Amino acid sequence: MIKKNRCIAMLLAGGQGSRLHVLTKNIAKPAVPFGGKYRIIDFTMSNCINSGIDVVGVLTQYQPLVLNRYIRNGLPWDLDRLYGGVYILPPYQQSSGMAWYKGTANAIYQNIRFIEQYSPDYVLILSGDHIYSMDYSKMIEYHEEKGADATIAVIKVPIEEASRFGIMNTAPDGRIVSFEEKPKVPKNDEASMGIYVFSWNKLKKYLIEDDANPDSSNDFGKNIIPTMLNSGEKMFAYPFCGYWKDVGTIDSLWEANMDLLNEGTSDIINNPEWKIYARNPVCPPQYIGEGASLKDTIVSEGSEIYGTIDHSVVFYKVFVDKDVYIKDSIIMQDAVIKKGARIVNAIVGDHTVIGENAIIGGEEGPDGRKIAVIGSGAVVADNETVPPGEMIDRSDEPII
Amino acid sequence: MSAVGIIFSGIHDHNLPEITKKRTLGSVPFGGRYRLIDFVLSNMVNSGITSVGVIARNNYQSLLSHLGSGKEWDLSRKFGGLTVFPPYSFSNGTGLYSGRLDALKSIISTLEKINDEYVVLADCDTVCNMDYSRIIKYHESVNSDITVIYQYKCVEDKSLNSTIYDIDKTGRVVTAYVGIAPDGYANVSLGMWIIKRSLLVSLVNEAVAVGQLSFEKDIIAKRAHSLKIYGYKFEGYAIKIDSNRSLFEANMNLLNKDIRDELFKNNNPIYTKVRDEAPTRYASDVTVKNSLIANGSLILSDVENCVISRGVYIGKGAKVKNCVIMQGAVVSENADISYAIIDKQCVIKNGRVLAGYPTYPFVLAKDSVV
Repeated sequence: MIKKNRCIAMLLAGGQGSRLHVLTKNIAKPAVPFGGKYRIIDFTMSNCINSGIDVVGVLTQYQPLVLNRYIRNGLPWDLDRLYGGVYILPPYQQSSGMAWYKGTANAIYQNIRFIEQYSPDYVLILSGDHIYSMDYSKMIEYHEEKGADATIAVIKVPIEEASRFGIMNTAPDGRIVSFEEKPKVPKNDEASMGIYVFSWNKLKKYLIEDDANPDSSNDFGKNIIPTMLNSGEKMFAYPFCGYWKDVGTIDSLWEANMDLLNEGTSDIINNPEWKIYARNPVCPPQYIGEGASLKDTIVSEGSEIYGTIDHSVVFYKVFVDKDVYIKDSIIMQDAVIKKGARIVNAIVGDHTVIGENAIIGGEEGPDGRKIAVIGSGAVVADNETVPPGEMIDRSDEPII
Repeated sequence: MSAVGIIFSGIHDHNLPEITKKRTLGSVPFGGRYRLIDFVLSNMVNSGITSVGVIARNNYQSLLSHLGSGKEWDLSRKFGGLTVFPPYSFSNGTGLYSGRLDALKSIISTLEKINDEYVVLADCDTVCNMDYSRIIKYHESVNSDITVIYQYKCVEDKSLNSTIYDIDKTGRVVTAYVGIAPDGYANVSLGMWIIKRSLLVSLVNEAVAVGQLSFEKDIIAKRAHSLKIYGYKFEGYAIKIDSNRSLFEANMNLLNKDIRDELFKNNNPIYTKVRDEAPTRYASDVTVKNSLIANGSLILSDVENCVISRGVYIGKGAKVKNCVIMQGAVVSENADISYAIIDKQCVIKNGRVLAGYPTYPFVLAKDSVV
């Protein structure tokens, strides 16, 4: 028996995230570790369950092993359900042939039958690479109130940065008049957050038409949204206020982590009314030993700290030895930082070893801050120096 | 080997009056993020035991909410898994059981029905990382009827009702004393026994029929000659939580790296209920020395030699030394506390001073406001 669902979520998690370079070499972007104990996808997954959405399809394609293993039966997000819950939806072979997901819209098109099982009124399209807390149920209510065919969540961005985003030009009642992808001269400061609510019957029609069009690149932003607008469908912008960060680049990933150390923006992981759930490692509490000094830092369970850490994010099961100095950095899970190492403005990946007296990154220079990145599983030798902005890539396999 | 585990969750509740006022011994918080029962449960699971029964005693709501369906210990199973038995006395016909045999009699139909060959019986007041499968192998190799697990140690507090075993050179238990401790070193029971299920069923039925209710007094002590009872000396780290002092000591022992590494072995982890707390935040300039701190806490002042649980707040200017602070407790600005066990959700207001002594820790009961 399948119960009818008012709204189900489809979470696009198949992208490579190539601008994260070595951090997404062996894992999909949504599986990149974030904030001391989370992975990027935890925020979207937690938003779903906190908003009362309990059917979530996760569309995977690029390097899915770590992501699949992480999501599994959905237990940490209370999505291990008798009806619905979480489903991993990879591309599959059909009698007509094998097709990869060609674009975001094509990924949904290929799963029309999955969606139809639940006969939803609305489908929420999400991407697994943003850090934010949002109550989707309010957006769905807004969609209903407006009698919309599609609703797109928007956030105000500084006008000088607006040309980096997809910009919605709206009428005073919120109706979208036009949409420009990365406009050179932006007319508005309301950027698309890549969060869409569609009335399912409408979306289905446009997906089928889009698939029949050989010139389409099968993408929501490039094809589906403009086509619907041109056809005069009722499309509304849903204004969102609050913290929202695209973590698609090394710099923005670093910044979003650092935001967790600030009084205001740290609420995103500390809100008891809107918890962010993660698959928890099994390990004892963190041990802070003799000689440790911590300032504006978050540390997770299972770590052992004997060094000095200033303004940094330290994940779980990290070992920081004596005389280590870490500042403005992110140290991911299971990293070992040996005696005398100095790490400044860096992202140190999971399962890495930083040798004695090694120097990773450095202070902000005249041409700005440059983040050094040590890829997952890399070993940095004793006394080795990794200059600011450098990337170290020494592992060819995902580490589980 | 196929074995089931039976855990007595609250046989010794009276030993920690403040701490067990609102809970049973098994759900006493320990080590920053655990409850005492996590150790015996995880040890059983790590030993390959997939059917575990927990016999509850009074005040078992907190135990039930901790255990849930047993998922966190991988005991939410189609076959076997976790079963919690509410307290019931066969000898009284109702109410609370008055000994392990009475408790076992109340679940005798379950014990008769299952197919497993062995039963591991255990109290939940011992903190250790123990592999029962090795002890079952020993049990089989000496062709034992009952194997008792003990520790050779100095009996410090004679007021506690420890069971002491007299063991001969072959490892066989000659006799057992309950409540009379010799001076110095002795073989002290860890409250864990291995026995064949069929033998357990017949012993329980026979004993209860003649009004015998104590497993140690009426079975181990009285039948040491007629049954083959062997002792298994546990050489690893084990500490029984039988007083406020030992609860304090056991927590402080976790600050020792060797003990921590032995208890929380990577391949035999200790599982517990997940609470989805954010990482712990250390604000401004904080010097933390030799402390074990769980997630979800906010540390705004210096802390030394402490075990701090999930979601604890340590305010600015507070002095916190040699303390065990349980979940959700608030230590406000400029409070000064040392040698204390602060139970869950306690609030210590601005500038309050609390101090115990290393051998007599000050205990603040759950939900207290100072």
